[in-house]
Amino acid sequence: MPKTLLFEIVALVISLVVAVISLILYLEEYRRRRKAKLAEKGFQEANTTEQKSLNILYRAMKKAQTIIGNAELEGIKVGAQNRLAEKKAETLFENQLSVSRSELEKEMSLQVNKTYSEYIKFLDALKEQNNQIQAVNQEAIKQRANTIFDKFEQNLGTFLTSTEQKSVQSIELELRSARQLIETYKTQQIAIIDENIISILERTLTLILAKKIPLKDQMDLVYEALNKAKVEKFVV
Amino acid sequence: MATDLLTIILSDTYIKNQAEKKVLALKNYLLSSLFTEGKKTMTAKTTADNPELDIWIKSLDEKIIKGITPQNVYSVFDKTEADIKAVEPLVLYLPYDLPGEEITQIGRMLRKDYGPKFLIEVTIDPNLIAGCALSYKGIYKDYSVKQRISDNKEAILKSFKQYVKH
Repeated sequence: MPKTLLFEIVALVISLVVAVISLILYLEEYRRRRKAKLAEKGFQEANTTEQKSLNILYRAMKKAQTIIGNAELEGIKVGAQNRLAEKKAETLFENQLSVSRSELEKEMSLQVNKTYSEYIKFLDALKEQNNQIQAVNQEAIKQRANTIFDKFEQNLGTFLTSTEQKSVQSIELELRSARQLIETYKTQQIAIIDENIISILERTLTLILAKKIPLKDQMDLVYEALNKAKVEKFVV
Repeated sequence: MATDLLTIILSDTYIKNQAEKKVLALKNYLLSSLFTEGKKTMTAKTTADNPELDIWIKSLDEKIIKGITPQNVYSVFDKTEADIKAVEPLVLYLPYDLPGEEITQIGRMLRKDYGPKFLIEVTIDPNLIAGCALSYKGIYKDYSVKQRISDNKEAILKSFKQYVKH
């Protein structure tokens, strides 16, 4: 049952109750004024009027109670209808919900199966792709490693050749230096020996000739020297 | 007078040092005889230190001696000393000292070549071995056996080494 209808019924009942209460209040006011008026007109008359008024009032109250009772009845009826409608609606809703749920479950099951199979396919594809990438990578790594080894081998060869050449050059240089040193030492030693030979010769001649050379020979040498000096124009 | 005296002194003197000594000895002798005794005499005292100089002074011509007077004695000797000092001597390096006669022979020979006033100086250098070296006006020239050995060093060593090899 729609909720708007329920609200309308409740509003109607409340309107009726408010109308009855207003009527009761109006009648009470009317009675009070009438009573005051009657008090002015006379006591007897007043009693009659009062009686009448009370009767009217009584009838009005009765009528009002009837209206209230009807209204309550109507309200109860509306409530009952409302509950009934609500129950019907609940039942309908539950049925529809059950149908929807089963459909949804079926749909979900289908979707899940579909997704699962797609996921499996995706995984297979991924695996295949991974295998391909792995193979490519392995090949690339292998090539790279081969290149590095080739380069390393080449560099090592160059380095070893260069080192060998440098070592040979260094050894040759050392040998040359050593030979030169030996040669220099030899030359120096020979020069020293030569000097010593000359010194020994000079010393020997000094010792021997100073005592043994004849005066005539010495004079001949002096004359020879003076003649040489003359020829060379040493004395000018 | 000074020229005559120089000629007389250098006539038998070839070493500059000796010439200077002779001039000094004669000067002393004449100064002594002229100013101490008042008259010149050949018997006057000369120099007791060197008998050779005494002999030489006494051997001088008396005319030359008489030509020197108290008035010119200083000028004559100053001039003679200056002349000897001005002579540039040839320095003769010898391995040992030679007798005077040989020095005289050398002096005579040099005078023939370089003039009557040429003088020498003798210096002893035993390292020369034999022969002599000369020095004149600061230039030294070695003609000795030592220099000959030095000049022929290579040849000497060569022959020596050949001898050693054999």
